[in-house]
Amino acid sequence: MIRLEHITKTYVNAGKKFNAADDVSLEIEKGEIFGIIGFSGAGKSTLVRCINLLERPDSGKVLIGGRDITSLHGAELRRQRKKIGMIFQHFNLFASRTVLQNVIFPIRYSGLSRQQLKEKAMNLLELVGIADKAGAYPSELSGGQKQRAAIARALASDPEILLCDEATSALDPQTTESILKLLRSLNAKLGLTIVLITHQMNVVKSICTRTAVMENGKIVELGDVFGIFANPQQPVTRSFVDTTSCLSGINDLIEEESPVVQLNPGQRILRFRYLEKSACEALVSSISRRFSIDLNIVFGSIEIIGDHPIGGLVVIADGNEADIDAAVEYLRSINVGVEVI
Amino acid sequence: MPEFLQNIIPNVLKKLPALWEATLETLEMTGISALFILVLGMALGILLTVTRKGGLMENTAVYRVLDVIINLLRSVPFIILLFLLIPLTRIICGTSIGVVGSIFPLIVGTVPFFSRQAEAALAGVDPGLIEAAQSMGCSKPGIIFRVYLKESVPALSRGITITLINLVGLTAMAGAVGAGGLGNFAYVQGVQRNCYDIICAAVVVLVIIVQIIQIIGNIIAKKSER
Ligand SMILES: Nc1ncnc2c1ncn2[C@@H]1O[C@H](COP(=O)(O)OP(=O)(O)O)[C@@H](O)[C@H]1O
Ligand SMILES: [Mg+2]
Repeated sequence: MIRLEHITKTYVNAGKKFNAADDVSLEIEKGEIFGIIGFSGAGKSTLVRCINLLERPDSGKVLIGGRDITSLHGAELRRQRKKIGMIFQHFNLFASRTVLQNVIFPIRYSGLSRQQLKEKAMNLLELVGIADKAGAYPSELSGGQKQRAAIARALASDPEILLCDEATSALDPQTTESILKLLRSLNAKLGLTIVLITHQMNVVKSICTRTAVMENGKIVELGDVFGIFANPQQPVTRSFVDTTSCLSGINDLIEEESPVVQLNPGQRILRFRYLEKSACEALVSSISRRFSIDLNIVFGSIEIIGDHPIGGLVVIADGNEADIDAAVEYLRSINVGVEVI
Repeated sequence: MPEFLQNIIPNVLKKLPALWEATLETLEMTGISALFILVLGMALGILLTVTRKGGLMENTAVYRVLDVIINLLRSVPFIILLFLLIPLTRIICGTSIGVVGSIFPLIVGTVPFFSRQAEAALAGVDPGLIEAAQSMGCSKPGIIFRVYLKESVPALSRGITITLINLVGLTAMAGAVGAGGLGNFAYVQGVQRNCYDIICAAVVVLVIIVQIIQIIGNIIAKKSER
């Protein structure tokens, strides 16, 4: 559906060259919800703006449905852009127009009659759940309602792709969740391909099928979301995964010298990463029996990502050193990530 | 009551028809030149906005040239500009005196001011809106008329209000040096004949005109603000 080939975009800031996108190649399938995550300044916006050529890459190609759009200009490019909707962090609604007029804006001169325009816009507002706000001005809406209006507007010209640039970053957690739910339902109902940029890992976790991790203009890791969570390879990826997991809380406790982590001789803190749920509970009792050590659970979490349960534990192991080492060895042999902290 | 008025504004009462005529002339000069000023100034304001760095049709050469010309014109005091333009005014208007002769210098004197006002109003439009419109496949003229102009109506109406008020002031100045209107009336009938009440009457009428413009401008700005 979307194919980026060796996209490079260089900015010159104060005389210094700077690669905001550095030879990025990427393929996004039809009907996917694809996440691009990275810290601020990683080049995510630059990359996503290349998809509808709001930013023209210095080199490389953008193919949409097999067609190279980097060669398009003028009216042809504008026609192509209508097939790619986009929503933004700050909604970018026209303040001087009502919600209904905002939704009509992109299709105003598409040949539909006034009646048809209104009907279509009302249907879209119905779809995003704010039909009752049709006559309101953006300043009269909450953040979530504004983003819903922006989504309706982005869908007005029946796009096949929706680009979301930090679309939930200005919203509170509940509203974020409701907008993500809406996006998921649009993906299912309309077969919309969604490219979602964010710096929030929980956004990726809750709706993406695959995700790319960006750093310094490059994609450093790419894979299905479960894999990224279960087995992060790069330090950036690990730090993002940690932001959504309470398992990293152990580091704070150690730093604070909390009484919970004051170890007696012979005790060690172990962190088990991302066990399958079924294995999780049985594991604790089975290793303590098998290696005659005590495992005292400090933290534990199980979540569902991409339909798979995934979780981890932080435990204090108590026993003799050789037994603990043997247990760790055994766990690693059955593919459980273990860190001795 | 009439007796009382006779005592304080004797000269004004004798010249009431002339005062009325002068008022109409001022409105005429303001109205005709405003028409040109708003159209030309708006066009220049748009041109400045789209050609500036990062603009819709970035063109540094055009922007620089316009920028310099506007700054030059703005730094010439209007009274000097009036004299400076006399030959050109004769060619364009056929005369350099009276209401007709004042229109051209008023336009030249006010367009640079208004184009800056328009530029500032358009600069107040959130770049995010331009980007959103572009992502929807909106054309450049579409973005100018449907986004820039539409979204800046409150700021523009404030800019237009200030410009018109300035313009009324300039018509009075032009009047004093040969054009018609209230400025001329105050100078010829008041200053030269030493009739202080005539000067005051001209001021009162000017204040009323300015107030009306201000009030209308405020109403439009308020109504369009969202
Ligand atoms: N128009 C521009 N001119 C110069 N530098 C830019 C421009 N746009 C982005 N950049 C730079 O490119 C880098 C990546 O920006 P961006 O793509 O917005 O990152 P992200 O969306 O991941 O936060 C940043 O360091 C930013 O300063
Ligand atoms: Mg960004």
